[in-house]
Amino acid sequence: MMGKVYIQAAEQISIQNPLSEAWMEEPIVYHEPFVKAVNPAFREYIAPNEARRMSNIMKRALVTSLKVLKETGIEHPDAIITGTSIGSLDYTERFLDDLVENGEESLSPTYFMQTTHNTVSSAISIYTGTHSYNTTYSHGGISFELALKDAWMQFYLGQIANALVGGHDEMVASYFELLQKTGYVGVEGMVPCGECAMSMMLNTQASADNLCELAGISVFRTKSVQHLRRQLELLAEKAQVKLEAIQTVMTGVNGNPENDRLYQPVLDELFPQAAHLQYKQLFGENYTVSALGLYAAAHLMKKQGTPVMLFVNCTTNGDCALILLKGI
Amino acid sequence: MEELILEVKKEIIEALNLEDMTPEDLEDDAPLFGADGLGLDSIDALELIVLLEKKYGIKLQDPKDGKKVFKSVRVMAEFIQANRTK
Amino acid sequence: MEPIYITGAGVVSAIGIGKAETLAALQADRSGIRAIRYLKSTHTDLPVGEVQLSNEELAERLGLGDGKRYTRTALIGKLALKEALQDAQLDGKPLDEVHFISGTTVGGMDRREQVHAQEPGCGREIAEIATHNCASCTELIADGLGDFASMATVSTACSSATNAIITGANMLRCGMADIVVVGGAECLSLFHLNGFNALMILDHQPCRPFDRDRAGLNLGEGAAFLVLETAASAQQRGLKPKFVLSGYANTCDAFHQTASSPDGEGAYLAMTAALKTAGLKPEDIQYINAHGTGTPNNDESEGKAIMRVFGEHYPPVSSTKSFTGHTTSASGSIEAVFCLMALEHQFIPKNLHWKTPMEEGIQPVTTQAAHPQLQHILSNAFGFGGNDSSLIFSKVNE
Repeated sequence: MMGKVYIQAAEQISIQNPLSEAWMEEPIVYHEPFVKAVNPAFREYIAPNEARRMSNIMKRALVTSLKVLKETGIEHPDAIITGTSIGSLDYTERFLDDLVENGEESLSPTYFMQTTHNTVSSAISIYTGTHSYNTTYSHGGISFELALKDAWMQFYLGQIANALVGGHDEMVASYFELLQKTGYVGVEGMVPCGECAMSMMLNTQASADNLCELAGISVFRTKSVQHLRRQLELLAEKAQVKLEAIQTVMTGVNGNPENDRLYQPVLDELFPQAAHLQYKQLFGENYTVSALGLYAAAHLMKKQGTPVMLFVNCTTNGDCALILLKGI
Repeated sequence: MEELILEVKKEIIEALNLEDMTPEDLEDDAPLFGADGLGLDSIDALELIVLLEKKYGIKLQDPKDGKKVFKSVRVMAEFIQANRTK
Repeated sequence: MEPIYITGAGVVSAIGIGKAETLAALQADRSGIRAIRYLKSTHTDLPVGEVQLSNEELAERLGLGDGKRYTRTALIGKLALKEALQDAQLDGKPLDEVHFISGTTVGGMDRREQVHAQEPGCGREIAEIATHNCASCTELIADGLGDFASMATVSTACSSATNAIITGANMLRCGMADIVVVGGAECLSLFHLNGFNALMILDHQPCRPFDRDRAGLNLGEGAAFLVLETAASAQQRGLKPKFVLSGYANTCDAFHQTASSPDGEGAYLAMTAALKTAGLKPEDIQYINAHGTGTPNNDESEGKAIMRVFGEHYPPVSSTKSFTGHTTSASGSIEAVFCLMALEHQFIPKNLHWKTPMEEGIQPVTTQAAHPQLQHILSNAFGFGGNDSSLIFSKVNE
C-alpha cells in the first residue's frame, strides 16, 4: 500500500518576482508578446567562478533547487528529476549560429556541453555532490509532468522517501520569432511567451508545513473527452477522491484559441460548476510553464485551505496530464 | 610584448567569462591552472585552444600541449608571438 | 520483484538494418566504422558509424514517399520500432494500451542546421522548427505505427535509451502498463560531430576501447527498441519470452559535466545497485557490455569501477562501440539488443581494434575464446553530466 506523498516546498523564477509568492497579491502585468524572466541576484546563491559557465536556465534551476534544499533541510535528495523541453536554448542557438556562420572550426566547447538537456539536472547533482537517481524528460508541454510521474512511480515502489522535481525552460528572441510562425506563441490576444524555472521537494513525511498532498498523476495521449473522463475516474479512484468533490480545477487556458479549445469541452462537460483557475495569465506560455502552475496551485491550496484541486495540462501536441491535489 | 600581454589578459577574461576580473587582477607570471591558479579546468583549456585558433590562427592538435602553452599569461603571449598566423 | 520480460526487439545501426544483419556482423567481427559518407561535413578524416542508407533510401524502405518532413533520427527510429513491434507480434494490432518511451538528445537538429544556413523566410522553416525538439522526434517515430496510450522522451545524453528502459520497467512494476516499448534513436548531425570535436575527444582512427593508446571515440548513429511486458500479458498473448530485464539502476557521478570521476564512483554505484535489484552477486555475471567509448577518460574510469565491483577476476568485458561507434542517445538500447543476441546465441562480441593493455587497467575480450554459459549480462551506459545507468539481462531457462 503506497504511503502519502506531499509537496513540501516549491520555489520559482519566472516573469513574476522571483523566489517569492508576491504574485498572489501584486502580480506584474505584461502586454508584450515575449517577456524574459526576472532574475534574482545569482551571486547570492552561486559562486561567480561556478556560475560563469552556466546558462540562465541552469542558474535558475540551481538557485530554485538550492533554496528548496535549504528550506527543507535535505542535503541530498533521493532523486533529482527534471523536465525541460528545449534545455539551454541560448547556448544551443549560439553554437548553431557559430557553426552556420563560421563553419566547422573553432567552436566553443562550453556552449556545446550545455546543449544536452540533462546538464540542467546534472548541475544540481554536481553542485550538491548528490549521487542518487537523476534523469531528464524532454517531451514538449508535458516534460515536467513526466518528471513528476517518474518520482511518483519510485515513491510507489518504495525506492525513495523524497525527490527534488523541477520544470525549466528559457527563451531567446530569435527562437521566439520562429515559434511564432507555428502559432504556439505570439498569437494576438494570448498571454506572453515567458521563461520558467520551478523546483519542488516531494516528501513522504507528513508535516503541518507541507503545502499540500500530491494525491495522484496520470499522463496519456488525448483521444476524446470521454477518454479523459475515464482516465480521471481511474485517477480519482486510486486517490480515493469522489469526482463530485472536485470543485476547483486549474487549467492551462492562455487566450490562444488552438490551445483553449483543448480545455473548454472538459470544463463544460465535466466541471460546469467548479471554480476555474488559470495560471498562464501570471506566468505566460512556455513548454514547462505547467510546473509554475502546479507551484501556484500548491501555494494557493495552502493559503486558502482548498480540500481538493484537479490540475489539467493538455498540449497541442496531443498529450494530457491530470494531477490531483489534496489539502493537508 | 607588454601590449600583447595586456591583450591576452583581456581575451582570457572574455573567453572564460571571468566576469569579476579585470586585466589588473591577472599576474603576468602566475600559474593559470593547478592548485595555485584561477581554478580553471579542462574545459577552460579547450576554450583557450579555441581562442588561439580563432584570434591568432594557431592550431593545437593535441589538447595535452595546452599544459605547456597555458602555463602563465607571459608564456602564452610568448607562444602566440612566435607562432601567430593572424 | 515481478519478472519483466522482453518480448520483442528491433535494431538499426552502422553494422546492419535489423537483427539478422546485425547478428551476422557481430559474429563476423565486421565493424561499421568508416569514412563519412552521408553527413555533409568538412571533417572527412573523422571515422564514423553511419547507418548505410540515405534519408531517401530510409524513406523508401518505410514507404514514406520522399520523407521530407521526417528527420533522419525519426526515419532510423521508425525502422527499429517497426521491427520491434513485428518481433513482439504487435504490428497491425491496436496499441492504445501500449506506452512508448524513446530517448534522444539531438532530436531534429539535423534538419535545423541545414535550414539555418539557408535564406531566412524559407518556407520550410516552420517544419524545421516544429521537428526540432525531442518530443516531435518521438512522435514522428511513432507516427503511423501506433496510437499509443502515452508517449514520453528521455534526454540524458548517452544514457537516454537506458533510462527510457528503466522508466518503462518501473511503469510495468507499478501496474501502470502491461506492455511498454522503450529505447532510443539518434542520427549524426554537424551540430554534435563538431561539438564533440570541440571537446577534442574524437579519434581520427577507428576507436580502440580499453587500449593503452586509445585517443577518443568515433560517433555513430542508430536506433533500437525493446518491448517489455508483464508475465501475465505475455501469457495471455501466448508468447514464450526468452529474456528478462532482471536488474537496473540509475545513479549520478556528480563530478563534472563532460568528464567521469577518476575512480568511477557513479559507474561503481550504478553497477552495484543494478546487481542488488537483480538479487545477483558480481560472480553471477558472465559478460559486461561496457560503455567503453574509447576516450582516455571513460575507459580508465569505467575500468576502475569494474574492478571495484568485480575485483581482479572480473568477467569478460567488451565494448561494441568498436563495431558501431558511439551511438549516443541510442547506445543503451542498441547495446541491449546486442546483449540479447549474446544470450540467445551464446557468444561474446569482441572488443575490436585492441592491441596494447592499459597500465593497471582491465583487458577486454579480443578473441572468440571459450566462455562459461551466458546467463546474466551487465550493460553500462554513462552520459554527459554523470548520468550513469546499468542494466542486467538474463536468459529465461526452459
